[in-house]
Amino acid sequence: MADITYEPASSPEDVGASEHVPATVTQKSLNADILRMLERPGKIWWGVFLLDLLILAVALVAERNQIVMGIGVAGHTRPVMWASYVTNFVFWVGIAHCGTLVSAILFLFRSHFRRAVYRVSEAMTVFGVMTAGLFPIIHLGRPWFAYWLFPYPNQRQLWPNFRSPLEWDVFAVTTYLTVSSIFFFVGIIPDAAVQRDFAKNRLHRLLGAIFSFGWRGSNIQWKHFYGAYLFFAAFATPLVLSVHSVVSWDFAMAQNPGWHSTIFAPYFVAGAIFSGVALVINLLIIIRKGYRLEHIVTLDHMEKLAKLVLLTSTIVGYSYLCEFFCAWYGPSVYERDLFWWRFFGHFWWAGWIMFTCNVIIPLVLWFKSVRRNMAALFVIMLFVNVGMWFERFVIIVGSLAHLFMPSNWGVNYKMSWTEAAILAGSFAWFGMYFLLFIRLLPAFSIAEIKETLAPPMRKKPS
Amino acid sequence: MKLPAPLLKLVDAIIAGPKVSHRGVMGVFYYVDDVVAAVGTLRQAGHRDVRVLSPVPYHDIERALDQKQSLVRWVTFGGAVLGLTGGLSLCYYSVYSWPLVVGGKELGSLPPFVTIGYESMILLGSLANLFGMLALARLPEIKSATPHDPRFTEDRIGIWVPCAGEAATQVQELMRGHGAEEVALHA
Amino acid sequence: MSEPVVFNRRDFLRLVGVGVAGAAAGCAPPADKLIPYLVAPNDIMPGVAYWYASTCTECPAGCGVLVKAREGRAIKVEGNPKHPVNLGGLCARGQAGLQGLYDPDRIRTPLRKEGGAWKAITWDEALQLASSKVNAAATGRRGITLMTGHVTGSLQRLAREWAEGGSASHMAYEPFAHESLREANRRTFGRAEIPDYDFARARCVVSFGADFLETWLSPVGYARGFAAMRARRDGAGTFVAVEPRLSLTGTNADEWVAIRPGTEAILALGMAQVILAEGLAQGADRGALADAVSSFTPDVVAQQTEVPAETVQRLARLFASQRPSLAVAGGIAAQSEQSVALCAAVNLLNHAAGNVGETVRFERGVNFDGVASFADLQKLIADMTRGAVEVLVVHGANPAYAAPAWAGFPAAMDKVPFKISLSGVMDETTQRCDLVLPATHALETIGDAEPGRGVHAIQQPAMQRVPTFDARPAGETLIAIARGAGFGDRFPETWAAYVKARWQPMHQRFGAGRDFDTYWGATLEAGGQFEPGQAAAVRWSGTPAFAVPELKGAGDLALVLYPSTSLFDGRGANKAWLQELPDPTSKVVWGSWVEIHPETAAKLKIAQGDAVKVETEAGSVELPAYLYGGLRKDVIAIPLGQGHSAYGRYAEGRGVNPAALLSPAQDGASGAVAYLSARAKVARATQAADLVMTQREKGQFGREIAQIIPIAAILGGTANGHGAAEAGGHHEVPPSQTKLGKHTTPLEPKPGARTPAHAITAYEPIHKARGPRNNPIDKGSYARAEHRWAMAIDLDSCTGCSACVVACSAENNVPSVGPELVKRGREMMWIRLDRYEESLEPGRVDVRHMPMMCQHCGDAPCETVCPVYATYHNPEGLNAQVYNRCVGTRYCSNNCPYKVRAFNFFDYAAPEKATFAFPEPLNWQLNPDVTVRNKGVMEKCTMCIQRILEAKGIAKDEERPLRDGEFQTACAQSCPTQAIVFGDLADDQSAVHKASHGERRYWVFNELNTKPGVTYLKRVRRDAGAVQEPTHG
Repeated sequence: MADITYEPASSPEDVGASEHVPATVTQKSLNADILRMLERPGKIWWGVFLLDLLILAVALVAERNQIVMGIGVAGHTRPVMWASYVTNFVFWVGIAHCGTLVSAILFLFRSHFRRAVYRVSEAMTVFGVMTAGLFPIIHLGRPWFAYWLFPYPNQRQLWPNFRSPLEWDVFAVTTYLTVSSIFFFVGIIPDAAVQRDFAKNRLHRLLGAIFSFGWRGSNIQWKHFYGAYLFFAAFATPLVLSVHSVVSWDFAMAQNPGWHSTIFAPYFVAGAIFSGVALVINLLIIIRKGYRLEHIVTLDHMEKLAKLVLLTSTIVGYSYLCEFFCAWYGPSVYERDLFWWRFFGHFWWAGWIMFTCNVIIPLVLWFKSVRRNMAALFVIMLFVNVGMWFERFVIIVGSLAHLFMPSNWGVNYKMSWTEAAILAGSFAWFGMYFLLFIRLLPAFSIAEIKETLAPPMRKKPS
Repeated sequence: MKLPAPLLKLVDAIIAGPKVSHRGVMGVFYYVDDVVAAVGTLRQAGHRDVRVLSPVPYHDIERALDQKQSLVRWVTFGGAVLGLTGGLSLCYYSVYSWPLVVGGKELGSLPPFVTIGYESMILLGSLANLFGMLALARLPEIKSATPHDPRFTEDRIGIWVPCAGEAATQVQELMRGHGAEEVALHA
Repeated sequence: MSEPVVFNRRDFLRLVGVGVAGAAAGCAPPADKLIPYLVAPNDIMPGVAYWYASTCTECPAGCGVLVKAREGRAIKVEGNPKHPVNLGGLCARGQAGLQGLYDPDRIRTPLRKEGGAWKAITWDEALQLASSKVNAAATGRRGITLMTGHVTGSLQRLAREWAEGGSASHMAYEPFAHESLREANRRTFGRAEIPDYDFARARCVVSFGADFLETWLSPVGYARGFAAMRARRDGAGTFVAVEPRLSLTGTNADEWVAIRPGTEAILALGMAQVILAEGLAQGADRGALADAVSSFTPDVVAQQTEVPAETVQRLARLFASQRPSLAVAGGIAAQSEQSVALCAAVNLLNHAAGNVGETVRFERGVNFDGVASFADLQKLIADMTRGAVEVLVVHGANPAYAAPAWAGFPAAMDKVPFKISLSGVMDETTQRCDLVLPATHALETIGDAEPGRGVHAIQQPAMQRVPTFDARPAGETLIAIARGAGFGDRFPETWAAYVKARWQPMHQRFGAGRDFDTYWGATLEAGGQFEPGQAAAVRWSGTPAFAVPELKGAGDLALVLYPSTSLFDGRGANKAWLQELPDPTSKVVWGSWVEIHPETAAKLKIAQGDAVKVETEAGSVELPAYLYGGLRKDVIAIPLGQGHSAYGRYAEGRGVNPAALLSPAQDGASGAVAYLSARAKVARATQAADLVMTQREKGQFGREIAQIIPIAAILGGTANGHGAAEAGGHHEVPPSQTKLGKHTTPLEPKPGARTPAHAITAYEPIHKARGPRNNPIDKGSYARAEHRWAMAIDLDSCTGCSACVVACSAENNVPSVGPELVKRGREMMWIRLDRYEESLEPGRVDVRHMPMMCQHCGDAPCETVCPVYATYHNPEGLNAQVYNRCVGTRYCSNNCPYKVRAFNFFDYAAPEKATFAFPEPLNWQLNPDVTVRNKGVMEKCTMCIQRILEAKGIAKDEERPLRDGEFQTACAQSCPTQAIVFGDLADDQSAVHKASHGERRYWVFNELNTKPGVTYLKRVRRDAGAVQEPTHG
């Protein structure tokens, strides 16, 4: 019967069940809002993208030079055999941790504010791992033999040494890349279907057709989709905890003062989430402003994320203090010397940057006004990520330069141009994928945000 | 820049997917409780393979269809077990097939191997989970199992009942009775 | 430790000297490319090393060496254990002789200077030109001078005969000719010679500025003797160093007397006065001596030398009571205008204490016979200046660099119409010549030497001449010139024949009925004919006058110039190994530095590494400052040997030659240059300086890395624990280091349980099963292994001379990477010498030298972390590094507490790369048994695994077990004091096993539970003051 009158989904009654998304949002408008992101903005996007590619090209030249000349073009020295490359590796793996946290852990905890933000953070995860994964190869003396680290059958019956933390890295990082990508692309399926059906541009609809796997939204598909999604979350949660624990064991399993500590696993995981969420906030602030999506990514969402940063910041701060206490209280003269040296020795500035950015500055997040002030939040999060990069720098260089053998203490590590270029290049590499992503696939989970809307009911729920 | 026409045709074809002819009735609904009611009566009327298409999964509808829990979890479990055992046995095989002493440690040193086994467990578990889901949900669905209608990825809910002739008219009536905005017969 | 390890070289030595000598004497045709021969000569077997006994010519000491040749290329030089001078040890400079042989900057053809530019000519032209000039000058009696370096044996004789024949004059110029010592001996004992100094017999040594462990006379032999003295366990063995600047030798002393520069003689006399006055004297002529020194009472001495009177008395009593004692003097650093007086005073002291004939014997000595004094050089300079020299022939001397600027040698030389150089390298003197007839290197030349009376040593060519260089033996050239100039008939055709001819009389005396060739062969094998020395009795023949030298100049700092341990008088500067060898005291490489006392520096606002300007009335130099506590506050010190303007790519333009700071000053009596004669001003310079060091920290920050133990504890028989108590002195010891970890305490052995070889460490009792969590592997090859290779390093014997470092580089193809990379911590040395300055106060000096290489840990941290098994524990307990499996994660280096792993940051082995470290023909020296590592891989000490394999192979062929000590690692072999012992820990009878279970043993970073395969023996601290009497045995 054609005379059925629709009730606008935005009538106050409907808002009852919905969380965080204002009543003006309907399933229809949502489709439109998200798909609109695929079109604009044109010029700015292209400008950023080309600049990004330029930086990447410079980095590639630097890397080529390093392969031809030898790793010596980087600033490594004896005893500082690891430096910025491993720092970048840990940094990017850390960045990559937020996505799975938001999409998996918060999914299991049924905290629905994730729905508005998890696609962006998942994308960040996948691209973050893709960036991180490069550095173990870049930092090798003979990168062309990197495949020797993978366990593949060969006629010499040579297998990798499964006792080496670096070998654990190989397993952890590859697993993490695989699982987070699966998670990412499975989540996209229903939204890709939307894109297939409603995108204006033919290219976008083609991509929609491909990534939707021919999704129709039938009840059977939904059943297995969520049946599986639960398990993805169930796997990803312990995975995300294990991956950064494994990364932390690259250091904790060595016996060096400043590395050899049981606190490392939780300390690193917290730090990872800390930096990851910080970067998500930065990206979201840009996107919601640039694409005028304040009504979908609301201040409440941002505030919740800010609280997460505050929480992890305190954990990280606790870990710092705990390390110092142990060094002072413990019997080892090496630890005592080292921790004093980290803050008052040659690399004192790095130590203080780390402590200020990660522990002191985030304290302002105790104020609600700051948490809800996007400009302030943006700046704070930038500080947090600078601080987290330096945390890894301090842990790596700040230990290696001052270990057991005084005769071998060396403070002659200087970051070379090659390293700087490759560091910049890593951001460009990450940025390239992210820029393409927001132009080619739905950057927000349409289906899941729809779930937050009140289901249309003819009889009002009493 | 403009792409050549045949290429554009091809792209459109891919987007549209292959033409499939369906026989049955498709009802388009807006309200969830209408759908629930309609599904209930349809099932009473003896239509077992009623299929509901919706932009969002609704628990009421699942209940109305009284769906079993997905079987994907068993596939996943199998994969996880395989990963754990596989990872561990790879470690043990490698150290015993060619004994090499490192750090004065035992050849079969479990603690480090646990990490390997653990990661392999998650890797294979997730892969099994993925392929289990795709298999059970019949994805990718190249040939659309139901008549395609973009509204079902927007804000409308569809009920598809494969039927023909007499039954079809009956179904149409029934759907209209339950407040379908639109009922179409595919024959 | 005092027992010399018994070598068995006989297995290796081959009697091919004759053949090769013959070949070497003939003219080797010049070749463009260096390729190993396709068809081997009959007397050479590819893959087998041949050893040729020869003599080292890097300094006048004339140590005996064995040169290892593979495929006809000399690849390693080692000390000859049978040679009386050095008994098997060899210093860094001797080891580096090889790089002189393969120096890429050696002169390739005869050269003639035309219009200031060098032009290659043929030998015939060159000889023709040379002889015509010589002939003209000889016939016209217009003065010919043949200048050689310190030469002995046949070459010396040839030079003399050549001079006679050509009515020329021969002059053997040696920068450090020890004129004063010889002159003093002439005046006091009537013999202008250098006696034997028997450190081994001495119970107490006092050195008045003689660096006898570095460059003084015959350092390798003295070091061996010194170690023997140190090894005494009867309460003797004290060593007191009297010098204003603590030398490397001084850092080995028990007491440092920081005396006013130049007043050493006064202290010696003061000691003698006390000895004589208190009736402690032993020798003859007491009355005469007493009169001579009566005025030098302790108070006078104290007032002149700034050494407290009680110290003077204490030292005197110690010196007199510990007979036979030994006092030595005559180091270059102490060579002042009164150096004869100093040496005479010390002679007097020795005589008074009755040491002459005991520890000071005029027996073999060190042969400086006929070596010109600096006064002679000045005469020559005068002659040259007034045009009395028509032709100057130079060979093996570089006065244009070595003689102090004020002597004006270069200017004078330019006045000589025709100058011929027989040098193999383009050094400063050769640059000024008109004709170069390049001489072969000692290692490719037949010859002989007489480093001491009755020590007739052979100099045997270890290979044919390096084809790249069209050179001829200097002797050959001299003979050719003589023949061309018409006075050569007295000489046989060839140089080889000349040498052999000179050995005819030796054959008469020692041939024992054998025909000459048999005798000659036997001599070649033994390295020479060594007569037993006969001590000549000497009597005191008069006491010279004593005075204190006046230092010239306005400055308030006395300038001390001392010979560089590694570069000697500068002749080592063209060898990359020596340039990159960290100076034992400052750890500086590739340059010069000026040592300033920290307090003085603080006053002048000078920090470590600042560029400073050192100014004397003669001139000024700018160089980086090195703050050194081992100096008097009113003294600065600069090493000699750098600052070459020529002499090859490795020497040119590095550092400064501080001789330029000297103004005319020499010893009146002997004419010796007064290196200690100037006062200097020091100020900060503007331009940036480059102080490249391999060890920046001097202390060990409370970590017991280099441990010591008081002699009392040993004599009392309770060694353990004392290291902890005494280490470092003034800080409390972290508890974690005083006890072993829990699970390292060995369990009771299961019945029949035996630890597989790879798991044996001295750290735990052998043949005990370890904890259940840590069962040693006994699968595969690990079950069959029989040996556990290990080392024991005695820090009490180690003098820090660093010979082992060069030996290791030579044996294992370790590249020298140059100053830029060393500055960035990328030096490649597999073994380094750490030095820790625990205290440098006068009175108590405690500097610890510690060789540090891969410890081959039983539980190695590096192994676990390598993801690709590139480093693992091999069945014989070695920590193996598989280069071609390494991917370069560098995790192993991060996790190595000893930081002994070196990483190939660049491609040092690729000729096409700028970083190539072995420019041809330097690559000829590479050891074919060791790979040259490529870019991106980690490398480290292998305990010379190639030698292990060779020895095992030989033992297998001869169907016998390996004998302990039948082979050594390169470092252990070269060690002059045999501080490093290598061997099989699984063999209870091996030297290394005994040493590793001695009372002084300990392990570095014991508490990390790495179970090192290298055991260190604590350095013994003796108190110079009190004389300990043995409480037992």
